[in-house]
Amino acid sequence: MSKNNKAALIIISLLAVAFIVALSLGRDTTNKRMDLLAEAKIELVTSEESIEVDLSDIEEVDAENFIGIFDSSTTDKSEHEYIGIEIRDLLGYKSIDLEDKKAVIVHGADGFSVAYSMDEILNENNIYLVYMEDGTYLGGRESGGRGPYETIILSDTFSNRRCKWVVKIEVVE
Amino acid sequence: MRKKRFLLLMILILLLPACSKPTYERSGINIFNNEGNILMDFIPESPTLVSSLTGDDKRFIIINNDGKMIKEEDDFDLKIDGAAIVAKRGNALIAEDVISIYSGEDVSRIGKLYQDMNNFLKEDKKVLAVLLDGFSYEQFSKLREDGRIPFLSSIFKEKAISVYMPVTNSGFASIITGALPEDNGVYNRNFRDIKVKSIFKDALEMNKKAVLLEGDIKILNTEIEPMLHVDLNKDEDVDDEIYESAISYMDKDMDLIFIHFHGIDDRGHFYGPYAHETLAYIEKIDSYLQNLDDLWDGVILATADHGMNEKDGAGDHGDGTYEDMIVPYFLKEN
Repeated sequence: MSKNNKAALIIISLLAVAFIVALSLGRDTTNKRMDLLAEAKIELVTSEESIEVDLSDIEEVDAENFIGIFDSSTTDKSEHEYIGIEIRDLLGYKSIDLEDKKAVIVHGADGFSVAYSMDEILNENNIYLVYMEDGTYLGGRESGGRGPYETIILSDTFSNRRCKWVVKIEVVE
Repeated sequence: MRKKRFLLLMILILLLPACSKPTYERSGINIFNNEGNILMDFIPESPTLVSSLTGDDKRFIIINNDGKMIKEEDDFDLKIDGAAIVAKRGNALIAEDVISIYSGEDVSRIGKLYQDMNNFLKEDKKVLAVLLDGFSYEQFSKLREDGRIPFLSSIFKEKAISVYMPVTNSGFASIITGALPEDNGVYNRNFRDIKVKSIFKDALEMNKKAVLLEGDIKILNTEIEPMLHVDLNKDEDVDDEIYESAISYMDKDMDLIFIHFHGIDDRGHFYGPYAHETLAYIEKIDSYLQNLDDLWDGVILATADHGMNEKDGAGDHGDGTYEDMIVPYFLKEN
């Protein structure tokens, strides 16, 4: 084997190893994100009760694929494909009465909270609790992700009323 | 031959990222005083004495990229250093990444609102504090000249300077802590946690009753939870709901009511700071404040987190310019 062939073989081998390592790391990340989603819990709070929901509850509600636009003050507009459920459907599945209620406040693990009016919540195909973006689980706060759950409001032009790392959904009288 | 070319190509692909030189996109600095901008986007191609740009006055506030505001009372040089513009006196480095320079007489910072709130609460006076998001001194000045905002005009005290970066999170944090970003840890929109105590902690420690009336988003993690509001009457505005909420607190024996009105900023961004819609909305806020004053027997304090500049037929902020940095400060002792 000539020197050139040897060098080419080494380079191709190195690239193949790098590819396999990247693939395995990616799979590892996906598994970790799936585990995180499986373990995650969200508290649903009303003036009368507090209920904990997890992935088994989320899976009982019809998940939807939809396109959302992400647009913030520091990024350009970008289109993404999401999978998630409507918050109104989750509240309905848990038989939470929304009549005469004023708003829904969603809280994130970082202390952030955002209020949605009841009209916004009840509008069809508007406010979602998502767990996948562009075919990838959202991941957790510690790993630089935005999940395992994030809220997305489609009627907003900008993305400043999304709530990352959702831990609590509160129905306000 | 083909094999050689292939090999060379592979090596080039692997080595290319390591060989590429870092490229800098250098921005110029803005120099302003309390009347307007003196120089915009200035790049000192050679070392430049700052007084040659500003005139005789040798009082400066250097606004650095990390939020520091450095007061200087003597001349210094501006020089390019890599991607940054630095301020130096001789060999001594004064500021390592200058964003803008305020030139002229000393000006109060928006953090003065924290000191005033604190002092009045200590004197057992009730305080109604109002954050007028995105309300620049230029907007105030225009409306005052036209006699369109009688209440705010009657309680105007002075001009104040915002912080860098002049955006809501950092301006708001400075207003409720009295501290600069380098101390309170809120540098821009990506920061929510405050590293020092805010006026709400002070109020709690003084056994005072305090409420923070916010829009539909919690901006900062404060020691008391803000009361969030949604657009109940579907007029695409939350300030009216916040205003109604404030009225409902007037007879609840509160010591500190802190209101964050968002609508001026919203309209400034969308229509532009001097658009009819924006200026008319400021008149509406003026009438809200007049009505609240009629019901409130305590002190009223107000300022803005940042101003607003005209950009591409709309409005924006976040630069160290006169329009973004200089805001009005209001005080009424009932």
